[in-house]
Amino acid sequence: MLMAIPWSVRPHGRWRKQLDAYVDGELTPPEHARFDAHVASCARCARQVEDARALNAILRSMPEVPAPRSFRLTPEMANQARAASAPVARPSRVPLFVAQLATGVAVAALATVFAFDRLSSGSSSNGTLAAPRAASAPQSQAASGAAGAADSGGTKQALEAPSSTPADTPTPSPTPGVASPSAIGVTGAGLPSATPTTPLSPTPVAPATGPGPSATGESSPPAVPTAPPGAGTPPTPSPHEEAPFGPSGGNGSTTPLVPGLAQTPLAPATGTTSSGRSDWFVPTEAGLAGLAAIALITTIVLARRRRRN
Amino acid sequence: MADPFDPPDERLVSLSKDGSLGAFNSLVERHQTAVYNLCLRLLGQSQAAEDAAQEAFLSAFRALPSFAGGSFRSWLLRIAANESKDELRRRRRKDASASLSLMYDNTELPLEPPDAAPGAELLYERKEAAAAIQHALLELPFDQRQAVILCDLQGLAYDEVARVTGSSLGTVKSRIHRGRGRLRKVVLKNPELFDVTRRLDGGER
Repeated sequence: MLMAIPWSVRPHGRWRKQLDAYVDGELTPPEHARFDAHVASCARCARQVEDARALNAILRSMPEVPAPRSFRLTPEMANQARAASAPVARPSRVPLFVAQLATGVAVAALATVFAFDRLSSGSSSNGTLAAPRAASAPQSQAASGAAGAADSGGTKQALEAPSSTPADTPTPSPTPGVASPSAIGVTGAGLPSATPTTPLSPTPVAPATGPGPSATGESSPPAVPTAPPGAGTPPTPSPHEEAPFGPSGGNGSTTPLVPGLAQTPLAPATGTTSSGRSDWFVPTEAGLAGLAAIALITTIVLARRRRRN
Repeated sequence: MADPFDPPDERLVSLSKDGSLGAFNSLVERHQTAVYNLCLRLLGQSQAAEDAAQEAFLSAFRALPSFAGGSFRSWLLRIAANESKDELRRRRRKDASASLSLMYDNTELPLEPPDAAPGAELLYERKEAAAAIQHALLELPFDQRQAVILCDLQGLAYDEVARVTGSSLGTVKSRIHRGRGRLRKVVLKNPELFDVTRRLDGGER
């Protein structure tokens, strides 16, 4: 009797949940034993067990309907099925091909965007530089003897930049950045991202950028202030490193530079370039990430579909 | 007749895989009642069930090379369940008032085998009861219906149901529990159809 009280008071949700499994003999032996013990002492649950058994009996008594006809396959059906199974096999190949194609297209798109990114970052930096510097440009450009040629027109540089950028941009950033004293703080940040580019044209290019006016399109504004060797460094990292470069470089001298381009030739150049480019970099990077995500999703979806087939 | 039915499924499967249509048809005959009944209970319409069952055997024949072993029956029932699901979707799409027409058909469905067995009144009673159950079954969500049918009408154990439906044991348990809960309500609402329920009813009080 003492036992009965707690059982009856106890919420029966747990037992009710196990009810069907109990009736079907699907509980584990210990669970079943526990249920047995409970049913023995709980009239309510015992009634429910009866209910469930009755329902099962009703369900089991549902008449099995004989098949209205034979579902044997005729030889024609079999042949058709075999023929149909061939196309079934084909689709599995198509998705793979499509997946490869999609991946290829996505990669190509990535490459294009990347190239565009460089071009646009070059031109955009020029553009941004040109706008604020319109006044300052003459001074800073004049100061930079070598760069002067390219500086003639800020906008013109932008046009030139594309052609020169692809080759020039990557090269200067790695080597000079590390070497230049001003860039020391930057090197830490610049190295990881810069590494891939460095191998392309490490030392040979770097010297070219400094003296070469052709490279100026991008590098000239910053190059002017720093120094022919070091000058190349601050601007160059921008295409790749802008984001990391900006903050790290900014600590040293860039922060004040942005507004005061005209005031300090050296500092402003680096500051402006980094800030201007980093602004551009966010959307382009987002675009890159988006494309990569699309490529990944396409591949996964198609692979899954293929598996299903 | 004895010969084709003697060999176990595995043997017939391997023969079928080697291209013997005869062996495959032996499998068809062995399992067609189970397949047809599963489709029938899932769909509630004999014509739809017939289509689904035939489609199931065709799909099975096509997919036979990929059959990895295990219970052929479970595999077949799984295909049949999927075919039924597809058929249901197709029919729903076809007629806008699908659910309505489905319900009308349901009520008539269990009377389907008119000359199934001679049993006069008892049969009639059972038919009425079966009709009510079938009706209630069709109002269950597909997954619950499938679990209840496989377990209670086809007599599969929970783990077999799990294998056929491709779900976990816990999922099967809860689907059966919930599905039966609804069926129980239907039975208790129509006690006159089920002489068993009269007993229950008395017990309830």
